[in-house]
Amino acid sequence: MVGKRVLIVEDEIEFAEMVKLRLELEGFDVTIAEDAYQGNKEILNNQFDLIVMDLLMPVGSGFDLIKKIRELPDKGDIPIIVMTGKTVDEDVITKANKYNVSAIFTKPYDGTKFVNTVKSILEKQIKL
Amino acid sequence: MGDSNLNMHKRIRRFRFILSAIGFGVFYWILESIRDVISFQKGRFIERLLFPDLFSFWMRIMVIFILILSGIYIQSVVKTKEERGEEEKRGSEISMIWVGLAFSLLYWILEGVRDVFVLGKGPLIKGLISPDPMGFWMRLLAVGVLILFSLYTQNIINERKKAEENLQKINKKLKELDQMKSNFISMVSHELRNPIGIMREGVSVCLEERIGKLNEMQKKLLLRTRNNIDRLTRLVTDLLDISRIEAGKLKIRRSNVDIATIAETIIEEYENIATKKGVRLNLSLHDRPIRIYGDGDKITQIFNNLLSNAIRYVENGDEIRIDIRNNEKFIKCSVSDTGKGIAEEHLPYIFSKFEQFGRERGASGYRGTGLGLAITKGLIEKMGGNIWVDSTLGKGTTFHFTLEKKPFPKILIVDDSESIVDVVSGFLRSEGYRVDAAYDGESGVRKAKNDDFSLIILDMMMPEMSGYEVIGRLKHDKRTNNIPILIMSAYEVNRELLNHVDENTAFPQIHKPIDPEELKEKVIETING
Repeated sequence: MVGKRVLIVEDEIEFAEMVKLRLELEGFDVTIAEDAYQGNKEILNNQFDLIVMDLLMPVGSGFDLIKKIRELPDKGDIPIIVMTGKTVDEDVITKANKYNVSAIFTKPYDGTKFVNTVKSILEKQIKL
Repeated sequence: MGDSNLNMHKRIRRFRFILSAIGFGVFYWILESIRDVISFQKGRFIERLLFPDLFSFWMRIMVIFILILSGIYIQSVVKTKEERGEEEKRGSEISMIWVGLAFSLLYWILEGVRDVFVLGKGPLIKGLISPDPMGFWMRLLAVGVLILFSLYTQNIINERKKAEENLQKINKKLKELDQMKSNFISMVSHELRNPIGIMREGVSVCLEERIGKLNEMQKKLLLRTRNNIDRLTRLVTDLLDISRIEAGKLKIRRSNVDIATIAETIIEEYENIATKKGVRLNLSLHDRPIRIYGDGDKITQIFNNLLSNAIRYVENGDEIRIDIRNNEKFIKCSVSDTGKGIAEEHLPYIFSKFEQFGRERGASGYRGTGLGLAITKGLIEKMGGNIWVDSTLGKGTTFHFTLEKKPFPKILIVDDSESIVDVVSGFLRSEGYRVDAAYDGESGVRKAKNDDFSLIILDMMMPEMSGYEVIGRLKHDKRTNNIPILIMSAYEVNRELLNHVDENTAFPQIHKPIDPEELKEKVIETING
């Protein structure tokens, strides 16, 4: 997993830094975008192997950005993990299924479980 | 509080003109009897009241008949006005005083007509304007009583109306406050998740010694910190749950679930912690599988809450047992333990919020939030069930609950291809649904109108009547316009056309060839709305 690039789109910067720390301990190369606009710019300009996405952010919701990503011709299939403080209700699940989200984590999350999920998603990706 | 009173009041108001006409009629009957006695010296009052002579009897009946007819007429005029919503505007309601005056005038004219035509007392104009003194005072008396009576009634109506308006105002305010409270709790709880998340991760990374070795004391303190962060998390989750239940926002998502499997899975999950505590877990199933049309996640949450509750009150050597019985109309479950039990004086408050009884101190990792049983009760009641508790101090506690067995919904499949209907209906039947089929649009619409379907699965490409036309017909009929429709088609449907039919419906679609798992999910989603 060393060198795999992960983008975290999250407006709560200290939260994003905790996720970043966790992933960096595993050898990932991590970038943080503080809102959907920044996130969009990062995705268009750089190559990422996985995106961790918050749902409630200023400047466009997480699902709006996910929808945009899925419509990209060359990067439409990047695995996405949703990380949210929102209650995961039917609405969230339906949208997550619609946009082919790989996993949903609710804040506060279990760090070990999160890292294991990220690894298994990327392993599957390699096999494909 | 005054609900039945209010309803009664409304009913009286709806028929107030007819009722007052009847009231005036009775009053008129008595007045006539008095007059018979005083002015015509026709015997005793009680005789005149009960057995008037034929002439007088028909006279009275005629007047009362006219009174009631005009009451009905006024009522019908007012009713159409009220139906147009004009009554909502303040003061547009016709006052009872006007009704009294109208009846008085009517009575005066009737008397005049009678004086002239029946008793032969001169020209009509005289009968109407200046009758003989006896008739005049008689009429004045009657009119006076009529008006007093209507003033009195109007007064009662006014007071009732004021009380009703006050009640509605208070009710509205309370609802607003409640909504504010729910929104506030929901907002705060969501906001809390970010800082809690940061704290938990920080502590976890340290605790896992990913960034350096810890000594025993540091480990102990950090572990205690994390346990309390987890407790805070549970509190936030429970607060969100209870505020959603109280705001009525909790949605039940029913599908084909097997309670036996749910219970087995839960027991497995608790096996570890029970073994650690030296507690035996038992499951008595009296039937299996127990398939019901219910919400699996919510049922899991109920068992989870009751089990985690029970495990807190038991000690080494105790036993916890789940018992499930499949009755005809409901499922009866119980979760019992041989633990400490609950004191009798605490039992009435056991399902209230933030009540924790005999909770051990220390081990924060196992401590509850005081909301678990309130949530459990809310969930069970939302699913049409009941929960109650039996407990003896020192012997143990049993929570009993029931879940209503809702019938599986009926689904109509409309498709001209027999083989597709066979495959789809076979699959839906295996999921417990009741299924009917129609092989063309015309009979599909007919069946939908004459039966009670919870969902229509509709093919778009059919000869004769197309899917679009079927949707149009269904949406234009009161009996069918609320039935959810799942479109089944190999091609993308014409959304513009569908929006034209009904712009408020999303019209979910499943693509042919049909994937059973997708069909299952889409059906659950569409039926549960």
